[in-house]
Amino acid sequence: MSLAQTMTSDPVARHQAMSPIHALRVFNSLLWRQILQGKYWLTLAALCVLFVYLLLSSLLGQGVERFLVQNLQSTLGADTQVTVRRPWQQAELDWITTHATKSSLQSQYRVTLSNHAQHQSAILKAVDSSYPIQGDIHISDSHGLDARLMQQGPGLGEIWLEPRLAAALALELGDTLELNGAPLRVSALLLLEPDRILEGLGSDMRAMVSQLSLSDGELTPHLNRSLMLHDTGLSAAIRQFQSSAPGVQVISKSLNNYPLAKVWERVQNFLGLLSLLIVLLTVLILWLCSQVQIQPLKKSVSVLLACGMERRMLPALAISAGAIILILSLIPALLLALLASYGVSHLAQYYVDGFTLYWHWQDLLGAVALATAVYFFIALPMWLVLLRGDIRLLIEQCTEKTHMRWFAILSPVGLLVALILIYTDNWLLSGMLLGGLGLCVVLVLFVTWLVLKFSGYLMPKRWVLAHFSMLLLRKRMLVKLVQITALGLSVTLLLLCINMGRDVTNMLELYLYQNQGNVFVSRANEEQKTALEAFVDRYQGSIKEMQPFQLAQVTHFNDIALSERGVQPSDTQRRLEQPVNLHWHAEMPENIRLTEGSWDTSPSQAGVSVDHEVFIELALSLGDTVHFDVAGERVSATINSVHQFKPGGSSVTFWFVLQQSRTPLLNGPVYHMGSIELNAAGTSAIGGLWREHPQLRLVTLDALLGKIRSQVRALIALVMSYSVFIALLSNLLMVAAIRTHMEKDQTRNGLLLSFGLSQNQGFRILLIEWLTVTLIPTLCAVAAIYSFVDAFYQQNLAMSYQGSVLMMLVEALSIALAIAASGILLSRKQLCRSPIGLLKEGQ
Amino acid sequence: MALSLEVSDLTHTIQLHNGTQLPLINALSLRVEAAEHIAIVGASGCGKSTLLSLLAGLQATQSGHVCYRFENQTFKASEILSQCGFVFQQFHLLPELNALDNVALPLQLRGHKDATMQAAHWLTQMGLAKRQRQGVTQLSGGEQQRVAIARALCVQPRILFADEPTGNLDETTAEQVITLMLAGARQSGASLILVTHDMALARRMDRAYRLSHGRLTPCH
Repeated sequence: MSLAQTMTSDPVARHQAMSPIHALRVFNSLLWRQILQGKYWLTLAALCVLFVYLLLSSLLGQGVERFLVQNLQSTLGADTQVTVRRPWQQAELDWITTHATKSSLQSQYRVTLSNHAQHQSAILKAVDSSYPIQGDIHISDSHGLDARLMQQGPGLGEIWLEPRLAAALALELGDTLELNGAPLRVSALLLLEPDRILEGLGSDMRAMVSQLSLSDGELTPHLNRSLMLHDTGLSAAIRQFQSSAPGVQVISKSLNNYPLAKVWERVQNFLGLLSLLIVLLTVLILWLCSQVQIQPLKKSVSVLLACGMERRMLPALAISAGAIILILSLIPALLLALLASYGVSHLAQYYVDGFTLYWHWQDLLGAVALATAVYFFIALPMWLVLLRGDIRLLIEQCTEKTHMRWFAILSPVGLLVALILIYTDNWLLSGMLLGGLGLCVVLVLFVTWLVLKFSGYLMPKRWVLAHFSMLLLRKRMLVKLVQITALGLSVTLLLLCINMGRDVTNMLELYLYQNQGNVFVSRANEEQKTALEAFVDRYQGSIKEMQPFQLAQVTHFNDIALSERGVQPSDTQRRLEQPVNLHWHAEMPENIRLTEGSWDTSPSQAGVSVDHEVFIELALSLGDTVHFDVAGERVSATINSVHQFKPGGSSVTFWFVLQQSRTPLLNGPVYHMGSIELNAAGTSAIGGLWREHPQLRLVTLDALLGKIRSQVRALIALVMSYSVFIALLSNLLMVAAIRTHMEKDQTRNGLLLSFGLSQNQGFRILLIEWLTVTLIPTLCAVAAIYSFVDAFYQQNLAMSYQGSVLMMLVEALSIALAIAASGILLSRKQLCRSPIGLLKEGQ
Repeated sequence: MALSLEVSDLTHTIQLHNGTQLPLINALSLRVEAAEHIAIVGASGCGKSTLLSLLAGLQATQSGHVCYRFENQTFKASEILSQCGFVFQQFHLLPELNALDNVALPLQLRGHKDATMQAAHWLTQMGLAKRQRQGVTQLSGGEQQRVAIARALCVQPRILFADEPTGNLDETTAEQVITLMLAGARQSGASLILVTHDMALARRMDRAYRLSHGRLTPCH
């Protein structure tokens, strides 16, 4: 029988037995008052942000990811594409038939199409009756170029031509052209095929026919391709097939090598990293909060214990406190997440097809469980102290025993490791990040020790206040180390996020093809160019670029006729049998880089830069002379350099670029190639322009680019929205770091003022102290990041880090100064108050 | 029904910064009968507050026994906390509560439905009727100590521990506070163990002891 029970049996019992309900009621009422007084706002805010993030990820994550992956994968037009640049082997066809639930075969030919006197080389795609197996073919039945979606290719005896090919051949819809003697009726204009992205935005003109329209054996395809739909889980079989069949190129969703797959992988890695950072930042904030905000809770519970509450009630109190804190942060977070997810899904339905919100209660509960676990793990050390510590020490707010202090420090580290063990699916990324952060902590500890220990020897003796500030810091090294380390970690994470966010966004922006308009003009003469400019003005579009060129026939290399050169037959050589576009430029164009030679514009000798692939395939050497026939005149130039396309700028490149500012043949006809950006009204009216200038060679890339752009914009939006969470949490972390300092400094500031220090002297001490506690972690953060950022980028984003250490230093110093300024501003207020007030509050 | 305290062979040491052990309490024995008022005096730092904490069960003992006897049953110090009242030198009132709520706290813990009324009664007894809704941080030291005494007495403890209850107060206020505390303890028939360095106050108790070198010796 307990003493309380014994005593209640006393007829004059003055004590009622203490029940857990009463203890809980009193404790909850106390906690509630503390919450209303704003003592836990930082904890609540951090948990709220974590909850919003986790709930939004659960509500939207699956939908967004599924939508993005489906859209990105749809650029294949199939589950898997198998391509050979030779005839099929029976075993390959058998493998395709065995593994595909549906398949389609196509062949592509390099042909020259003719219409009376007009000849034009083009790529002819011959498809079977199953084509397309996924997605639609966009064609137009008129010169208005209005798109119609088709689920089947051209019929027997029909041909679909790309608009600029029709223009080049001066063919109208309904006209007939001959291919190897067989008549083919132009029944539609080909705008886009679902498997087109893989073939790029090249300047090759395109046509499509049914395989049945081609006679067997008369044409040799340069490429055979099979499109397959198949069940999931074929990746091992596909890999085996790929390795056992030489010369076979496989692009598959299962192999994750579809277009933009690498982009998606980088974005996924970046988002994965951000998720890790979000949890990490929350843990840090909660931990810092627990250093300061734990005191009122600890004091209340200690007083309750001193008032007779039994310790066995503490677990119930801990659960109750946790539940109240978690519910208070969960409710607004849930409302925000629901509102945001409905908003996003509502918007998404307007702008993109196929977006669905996926509700998974298990995921939502999982998110809540994760945040709950994080909170309880951080709060655990305090409750253990209360459970085991002496009430007297607790009530007098004495320092805990050393092992409990270590437990409190190591518990967030343990929590993070546990979270990573449970949740990470990218060990390298997590490992590198934690390694980087570990390095930052080690650097911070070492540099802080170094500065505090030896700065006194380096400062002149007359700097009394500086010496005194350093002494204060040295004497309170443990308290300061917590703050400096927290700031170091937060600056490291923030810098990493800023840099990676910027670089990933820049990388994604490359894929928006902002320099590329949505209408590609492959040839426009001066008159057509003027008409085009007027059209663009009318529809408030913009000319993205227009590069001049002259048509030039390569005749000789070093006085040897092209046809007499003893090189392996190649597509390049065959293409050179027709005139090529000869461009000229005094300065090296921004969208190429030289692989060999130099850009030489000396007037003594005309120089030319040759495309790398042409240079290799034709076995050319630097110093060789190329002779062109431009409108009947001979133009010669020496090969000075070899160039390659450099992404990020204009997409128009030329095989041959004369290194000069003057036109190769002054009186020869000049054409232009480039692209224009038109709005919806402009693209729908482009057919009118084309009707007026049927020889104008243009192709609308609106559907193709639009698809890529909408996907990339969705990715950018996703990256940006994740970054909002990081920005929020980083700010909260800094506030937490400043507040840890502030609360603990209140008593010290009161004491300093009571010693007779003037406000000005107090301010100078604050300045020195804040600069020390912000500059040390900042410089350590820069050093830590710089040591691993390149390897981190290479391993996780397959990119190399382009930023400069100076820029990073400037960013870091700006962050440090912002924190120092906020800290000084807030601390300065303390200096304006009475010492007694500060001492009283600081107790 | 009597609650008596028996202390035997109680020893408590603290570790100094250089690692050496300093004995604060050394094989100390003591018996306090029900409703008896005793004082413990001694120089600053001699271990008076530590002894009080050990007797009240606010601190775990290292060696020796502190036990309470009630109706032939024995209880450990940590088990009698609900029957105790404690007055601290630093008051230890909760700053987020006003005076009334601070006093009502232990009553609410015990589920008293009229906790606020009882608390108001005790504050009136302490002469703080008009200041009961005041935040405790706005009260003077003497007023805060009176609130702390009211909080300790309102549960009508069987044993009251007071650690330098007048240590922070001026002479007049100290006299007021101690009179109220003694009256309250007599009224409820509680034992009182008081730690003080004020010999005059110690002499007002039934017995007084001096703590020196870890041992108690009677004061005369």
